[in-house]
Amino acid sequence: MPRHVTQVPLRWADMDAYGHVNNVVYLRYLQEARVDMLFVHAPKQGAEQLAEGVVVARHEISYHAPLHYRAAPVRVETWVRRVGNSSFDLGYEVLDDDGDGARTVYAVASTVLVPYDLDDARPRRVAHEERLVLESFIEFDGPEPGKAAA
Amino acid sequence: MRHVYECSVRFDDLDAFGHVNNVTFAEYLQEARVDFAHRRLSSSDDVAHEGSVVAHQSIDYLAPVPFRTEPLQVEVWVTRVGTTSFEVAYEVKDESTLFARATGVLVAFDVRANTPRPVSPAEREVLERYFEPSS
Repeated sequence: MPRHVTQVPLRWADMDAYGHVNNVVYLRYLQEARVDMLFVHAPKQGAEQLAEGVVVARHEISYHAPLHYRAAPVRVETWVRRVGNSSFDLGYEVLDDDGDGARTVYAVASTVLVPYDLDDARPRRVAHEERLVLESFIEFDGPEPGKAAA
Repeated sequence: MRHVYECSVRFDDLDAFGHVNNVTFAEYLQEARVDFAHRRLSSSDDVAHEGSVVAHQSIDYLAPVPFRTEPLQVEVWVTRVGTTSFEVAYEVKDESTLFARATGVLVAFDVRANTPRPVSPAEREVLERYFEPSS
Protein backbone atom coordinates (compact mmCIF):
# COMPACT_ATOMS: atom_id res chain seq x y z
CA MET A 1 0.00 0.00 0.00
CA PRO A 2 1.26 3.53 -0.69
CA ARG A 3 2.31 5.86 2.09
CA HIS A 4 1.00 9.38 2.33
CA VAL A 5 3.85 11.80 1.57
CA THR A 6 4.04 15.34 2.97
CA GLN A 7 6.89 17.75 2.29
CA VAL A 8 7.27 19.76 5.48
CA PRO A 9 9.25 23.03 5.34
CA LEU A 10 11.72 23.72 8.13
CA ARG A 11 11.91 27.06 9.87
CA TRP A 12 15.19 28.47 11.08
CA ALA A 13 13.75 28.84 14.59
CA ASP A 14 13.00 25.09 14.68
CA MET A 15 16.60 24.73 15.85
CA ASP A 16 17.43 25.06 19.54
CA ALA A 17 20.59 26.16 21.33
CA TYR A 18 22.25 22.86 20.34
CA GLY A 19 22.00 23.96 16.69
CA HIS A 20 19.71 21.13 15.63
CA VAL A 21 15.96 20.82 15.24
CA ASN A 22 14.48 20.49 18.74
CA ASN A 23 12.82 17.19 19.68
CA VAL A 24 9.43 18.84 20.23
CA VAL A 25 9.44 20.24 16.68
CA TYR A 26 9.52 16.72 15.22
CA LEU A 27 6.08 16.18 16.78
CA ARG A 28 4.97 19.34 15.01
CA TYR A 29 6.23 17.92 11.70
CA LEU A 30 4.25 14.73 12.41
CA GLN A 31 1.20 16.86 13.12
CA GLU A 32 1.59 18.72 9.82
CA ALA A 33 1.78 15.37 7.98
CA ARG A 34 -1.15 13.91 9.94
CA VAL A 35 -3.35 16.95 9.33
CA ASP A 36 -2.47 16.86 5.62
CA MET A 37 -3.42 13.18 5.48
CA LEU A 38 -6.52 13.12 7.70
CA PHE A 39 -7.95 16.63 7.36
CA VAL A 40 -7.05 17.41 3.74
CA HIS A 41 -6.58 14.15 1.83
CA ALA A 42 -9.03 11.79 3.63
CA PRO A 43 -12.09 14.08 3.30
CA LYS A 44 -11.55 14.18 -0.47
CA GLN A 45 -11.81 10.37 -0.42
CA GLY A 46 -15.11 10.49 1.49
CA ALA A 47 -13.94 10.42 5.13
CA GLU A 48 -15.19 13.90 5.93
CA GLN A 49 -15.75 13.50 9.66
CA LEU A 50 -12.08 13.00 10.54
CA ALA A 51 -11.48 16.72 10.16
CA GLU A 52 -14.27 17.37 12.70
CA GLY A 53 -12.41 15.74 15.55
CA VAL A 54 -9.59 13.28 16.14
CA VAL A 55 -7.57 13.36 19.33
CA VAL A 56 -4.12 11.97 20.02
CA ALA A 57 -4.12 9.25 22.69
CA ARG A 58 -0.44 8.31 22.49
CA HIS A 59 2.79 9.23 20.72
CA GLU A 60 5.97 7.24 20.58
CA ILE A 61 9.01 8.54 18.71
CA SER A 62 12.65 7.56 18.33
CA TYR A 63 15.17 10.09 17.12
CA HIS A 64 17.80 8.64 14.77
CA ALA A 65 19.78 11.57 13.35
CA PRO A 66 19.92 15.33 13.95
CA LEU A 67 18.26 17.67 11.47
CA HIS A 68 19.67 21.10 10.69
CA TYR A 69 17.95 24.03 9.06
CA ARG A 70 17.96 24.02 5.27
CA ALA A 71 15.77 25.58 2.60
CA ALA A 72 14.55 22.22 1.29
CA PRO A 73 11.58 20.63 3.06
CA VAL A 74 11.89 17.31 4.87
CA ARG A 75 9.81 14.35 3.72
CA VAL A 76 7.33 12.82 6.18
CA GLU A 77 5.87 9.49 5.11
CA THR A 78 2.72 8.45 6.95
CA TRP A 79 0.91 5.14 6.90
CA VAL A 80 -1.73 3.26 8.91
CA ARG A 81 -0.51 0.53 11.25
CA ARG A 82 -3.89 -0.61 12.60
CA VAL A 83 -7.60 0.27 12.36
CA GLY A 84 -9.66 -0.67 15.43
CA ASN A 85 -13.30 -0.01 16.30
CA SER A 86 -12.75 3.28 18.09
CA SER A 87 -9.09 4.07 17.41
CA PHE A 88 -6.39 3.69 14.78
CA ASP A 89 -2.61 3.85 14.71
CA LEU A 90 -0.40 5.81 12.33
CA GLY A 91 3.24 5.15 11.54
CA TYR A 92 5.64 7.83 10.34
CA GLU A 93 9.16 8.23 9.05
CA VAL A 94 10.82 11.64 8.85
CA LEU A 95 13.45 11.28 6.13
CA ASP A 96 15.37 12.49 3.12
CA ASP A 97 15.08 10.48 -0.06
CA ASP A 98 18.67 10.49 -1.29
CA GLY A 99 17.83 8.79 -4.60
CA ASP A 100 18.56 5.26 -5.85
CA GLY A 101 16.66 3.85 -2.87
CA ALA A 102 19.01 5.49 -0.34
CA ARG A 103 17.29 7.25 2.56
CA THR A 104 18.42 9.21 5.60
CA VAL A 105 15.92 8.53 8.38
CA TYR A 106 15.76 11.22 11.09
CA ALA A 107 12.92 9.79 13.16
CA VAL A 108 10.43 6.92 13.35
CA ALA A 109 7.14 7.38 15.19
CA SER A 110 3.71 5.98 16.04
CA THR A 111 0.51 7.70 17.09
CA VAL A 112 -2.72 6.25 18.51
CA LEU A 113 -5.66 8.39 17.37
CA VAL A 114 -9.23 8.40 18.64
CA PRO A 115 -12.09 9.79 16.52
CA TYR A 116 -13.83 12.21 18.82
CA ASP A 117 -17.20 13.90 18.87
CA LEU A 118 -16.31 17.38 20.08
CA ASP A 119 -19.92 18.46 20.60
CA ASP A 120 -20.66 15.50 22.88
CA ALA A 121 -17.11 15.47 24.25
CA ARG A 122 -16.72 11.73 23.84
CA PRO A 123 -14.99 9.19 21.60
CA ARG A 124 -16.91 7.71 18.70
CA ARG A 125 -16.49 4.63 16.52
CA VAL A 126 -14.49 4.62 13.30
CA ALA A 127 -17.06 5.12 10.52
CA HIS A 128 -17.22 2.75 7.55
CA GLU A 129 -16.01 5.38 5.03
CA GLU A 130 -13.15 6.29 7.36
CA ARG A 131 -12.12 2.65 7.63
CA LEU A 132 -12.01 2.33 3.82
CA VAL A 133 -9.78 5.38 3.47
CA LEU A 134 -7.52 4.37 6.36
CA GLU A 135 -7.18 0.81 5.07
CA SER A 136 -5.93 2.16 1.74
CA PHE A 137 -2.79 3.21 3.68
CA ILE A 138 -2.33 0.05 5.74
CA GLU A 139 1.20 -1.26 6.29
CA PHE A 140 1.52 -3.93 8.96
CA ASP A 141 5.29 -4.40 8.95
CA GLY A 142 6.47 -0.79 8.86
CA PRO A 143 9.39 0.29 11.08
CA GLU A 144 8.66 0.86 14.78
CA PRO A 145 10.17 3.50 17.06
CA GLY A 146 12.90 1.51 18.87
CA LYS A 147 14.39 2.26 22.26
CA ALA A 148 17.98 0.99 22.10
CA ALA A 149 20.36 2.96 24.33
CA ALA A 150 23.40 2.07 26.44
CA MET B 1 12.06 11.75 44.93
CA ARG B 2 10.46 13.65 42.06
CA HIS B 3 11.36 17.04 40.65
CA VAL B 4 8.24 19.21 40.38
CA TYR B 5 7.97 21.94 37.76
CA GLU B 6 5.09 24.44 37.88
CA CYS B 7 4.01 24.90 34.29
CA SER B 8 1.83 27.77 33.13
CA VAL B 9 -0.65 27.23 30.32
CA ARG B 10 -0.57 29.96 27.69
CA PHE B 11 -3.60 30.97 25.69
CA ASP B 12 -1.98 29.96 22.43
CA ASP B 13 -1.18 26.45 23.76
CA LEU B 14 -4.80 25.65 22.87
CA ASP B 15 -5.64 24.53 19.36
CA ALA B 16 -8.87 24.78 17.33
CA PHE B 17 -10.33 21.90 19.36
CA GLY B 18 -10.18 24.15 22.44
CA HIS B 19 -7.67 22.08 24.38
CA VAL B 20 -3.91 22.11 24.80
CA ASN B 21 -2.43 20.70 21.59
CA ASN B 22 -0.64 17.34 21.78
CA VAL B 23 2.66 18.86 20.64
CA THR B 24 2.54 21.40 23.47
CA PHE B 25 2.59 18.61 26.06
CA ALA B 26 6.04 17.72 24.72
CA GLU B 27 7.04 21.35 25.33
CA TYR B 28 5.81 21.07 28.92
CA LEU B 29 7.89 17.90 29.38
CA GLN B 30 10.88 19.70 27.91
CA GLU B 31 10.47 22.68 30.25
CA ALA B 32 10.27 20.33 33.24
CA ARG B 33 13.28 18.30 32.08
CA VAL B 34 15.39 21.39 31.38
CA ASP B 35 14.41 22.86 34.75
CA PHE B 36 15.48 19.60 36.41
CA ALA B 37 18.75 19.46 34.45
CA HIS B 38 19.71 23.07 35.08
CA ARG B 39 18.75 23.16 38.74
CA ARG B 40 19.90 19.69 39.75
CA LEU B 41 22.40 18.34 37.23
CA SER B 42 24.34 21.53 36.57
CA SER B 43 27.28 22.41 38.80
CA SER B 44 25.92 25.90 39.50
CA ASP B 45 22.79 27.94 38.84
CA ASP B 46 24.63 30.15 36.39
CA VAL B 47 26.01 27.37 34.23
CA ALA B 48 23.79 25.62 31.69
CA HIS B 49 23.70 21.84 31.85
CA GLU B 50 25.52 20.46 28.81
CA GLY B 51 24.12 18.37 27.79
CA SER B 52 21.89 15.56 26.75
CA VAL B 53 19.76 14.79 23.72
CA VAL B 54 16.43 13.01 23.48
CA ALA B 55 16.69 9.60 21.81
CA HIS B 56 13.20 8.29 22.45
CA GLN B 57 9.97 9.61 23.90
CA SER B 58 6.48 8.27 24.59
CA ILE B 59 3.47 10.25 25.76
CA ASP B 60 0.10 8.86 26.85
CA TYR B 61 -2.63 11.48 26.79
CA LEU B 62 -5.18 10.70 29.49
CA ALA B 63 -7.35 13.82 29.77
CA PRO B 64 -7.67 17.06 27.79
CA VAL B 65 -6.39 20.31 29.29
CA PRO B 66 -8.73 23.26 28.65
CA PHE B 67 -7.52 26.80 29.26
CA ARG B 68 -6.68 27.48 32.90
CA THR B 69 -4.97 30.19 34.89
CA GLU B 70 -3.59 27.87 37.57
CA PRO B 71 -0.30 26.20 36.55
CA LEU B 72 0.00 22.47 35.93
CA GLN B 73 2.48 20.36 37.87
CA VAL B 74 4.93 18.39 35.76
CA GLU B 75 6.75 15.77 37.83
CA VAL B 76 10.00 14.28 36.52
CA TRP B 77 11.95 11.38 37.95
CA VAL B 78 14.58 8.89 36.84
CA THR B 79 13.82 5.27 35.96
CA ARG B 80 17.24 4.06 34.70
CA VAL B 81 20.84 5.24 34.72
CA GLY B 82 23.09 3.64 32.09
CA THR B 83 26.67 4.31 31.03
CA THR B 84 25.91 6.92 28.35
CA SER B 85 22.17 7.36 28.75
CA PHE B 86 19.40 7.58 31.32
CA GLU B 87 15.64 7.31 31.30
CA VAL B 88 13.07 9.58 32.86
CA ALA B 89 9.34 9.41 33.49
CA TYR B 90 6.89 12.27 33.78
CA GLU B 91 3.37 13.00 34.96
CA VAL B 92 1.43 16.11 33.95
CA LYS B 93 -1.23 16.72 36.58
CA ASP B 94 -3.01 18.99 39.00
CA GLU B 95 -4.53 18.23 42.39
CA SER B 96 -7.44 16.24 40.94
CA THR B 97 -6.49 15.03 37.46
CA LEU B 98 -3.65 13.14 35.78
CA PHE B 99 -3.51 14.58 32.24
CA ALA B 100 -0.55 12.69 30.76
CA ARG B 101 2.14 10.16 31.50
CA ALA B 102 5.37 10.10 29.54
CA THR B 103 8.81 8.54 29.30
CA GLY B 104 12.08 9.70 27.76
CA VAL B 105 15.44 8.16 26.91
CA LEU B 106 18.19 10.78 27.16
CA VAL B 107 21.70 10.34 25.83
CA ALA B 108 24.48 12.23 27.61
CA PHE B 109 26.01 14.37 24.90
CA ASP B 110 29.12 16.47 24.44
CA VAL B 111 27.65 19.36 22.50
CA ARG B 112 31.01 20.85 21.44
CA ALA B 113 32.51 17.55 20.30
CA ASN B 114 29.11 16.50 18.88
CA THR B 115 29.36 13.02 20.33
CA PRO B 116 27.79 10.91 23.08
CA ARG B 117 29.73 10.88 26.35
CA PRO B 118 29.59 8.87 29.59
CA VAL B 119 27.24 9.95 32.36
CA SER B 120 29.60 11.68 34.83
CA PRO B 121 29.90 10.45 38.46
CA ALA B 122 28.38 13.73 39.72
CA GLU B 123 25.42 13.38 37.37
CA ARG B 124 24.96 9.73 38.34
CA GLU B 125 24.80 10.67 42.01
CA VAL B 126 22.04 13.23 41.35
CA LEU B 127 20.14 10.95 38.97
CA GLU B 128 20.16 8.13 41.52
CA ARG B 129 18.64 10.45 44.12
CA TYR B 130 15.67 10.92 41.79
CA PHE B 131 15.45 7.22 40.96
CA GLU B 132 12.10 5.49 41.22
CA PRO B 133 11.63 2.09 39.55
CA SER B 134 9.22 2.22 36.59
CA SER B 135 5.84 0.73 37.40
